[in-house]
Amino acid sequence: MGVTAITRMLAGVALVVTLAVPFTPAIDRLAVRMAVTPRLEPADIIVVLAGGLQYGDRLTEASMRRTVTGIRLYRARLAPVLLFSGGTTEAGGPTEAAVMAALARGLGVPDSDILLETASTNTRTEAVEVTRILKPRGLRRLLLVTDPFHMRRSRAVFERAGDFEVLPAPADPWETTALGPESRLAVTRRLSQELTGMMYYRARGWL
Amino acid sequence: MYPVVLIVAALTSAAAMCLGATLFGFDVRRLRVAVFGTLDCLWGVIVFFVVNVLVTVGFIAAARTLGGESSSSYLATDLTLVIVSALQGVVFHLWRLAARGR
Repeated sequence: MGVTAITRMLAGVALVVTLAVPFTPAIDRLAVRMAVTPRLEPADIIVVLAGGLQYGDRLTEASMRRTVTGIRLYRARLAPVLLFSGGTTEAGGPTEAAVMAALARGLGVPDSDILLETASTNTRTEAVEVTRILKPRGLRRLLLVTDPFHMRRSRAVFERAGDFEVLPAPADPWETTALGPESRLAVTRRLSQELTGMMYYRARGWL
Repeated sequence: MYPVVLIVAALTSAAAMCLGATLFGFDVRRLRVAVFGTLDCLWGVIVFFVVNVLVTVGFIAAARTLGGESSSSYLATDLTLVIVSALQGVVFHLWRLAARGR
């Protein structure tokens, strides 16, 4: 078999996979398997991980969902304190934690019940910095708020970094198995990011 | 509801095939050549995409190592990489054909 035939075959396989992703439920099943089941129980603290800022100082949709989920858990009295975690995304800009906390204050969470972690730049450093804040306070049972696909890696890295008991509180519990083609592409992209992140974290010994 | 996209694509493809064969007089047997040409082009797109992702990851790693800047690794999965890779792949494929005088 010549090189041309092999490349054509590989391209054909890629084409079939590319079409299968949006038009078959395969990715829905993988997404459900990747998502972590929520465990909403009383904890010492609610830790909300940042999901980015946009236009300088506004929360992305992911950050907004996570912040609101954290506030809902606080309002449900599952923990007495909310910690927002996330540093700056661009030089001179506000920290993600500060922007999320501002929203929480605006929605009635008292300043005294809010903690900020503003030094982190990724999931690993979030775990390290949050550990630095929580350990001296003797807090070890935490409700962790992040996206459903980000939860598996986040939980593992927090457990590893601080020996915490992590209760997953995904911002958007993933239960659907009926995605549309466009959503499937978005989910595929998100899962690819997460699987790559998990491989990288495993290689670095952070999980 | 969702298979409607596939149905639409099948219908317009069939219509284009009929139109090409009847109105423009295209040889239906040459469609095979077009399919192979598309696969050759797609292979170029895949190669460009893989290289673009790897180079982006390299840039991110370098930025993190040298500047300590928090470059997001999500840049490597930016949708625009797919679009740019597709353009690169098509242009390279057409260039290759032109070089062969086809």
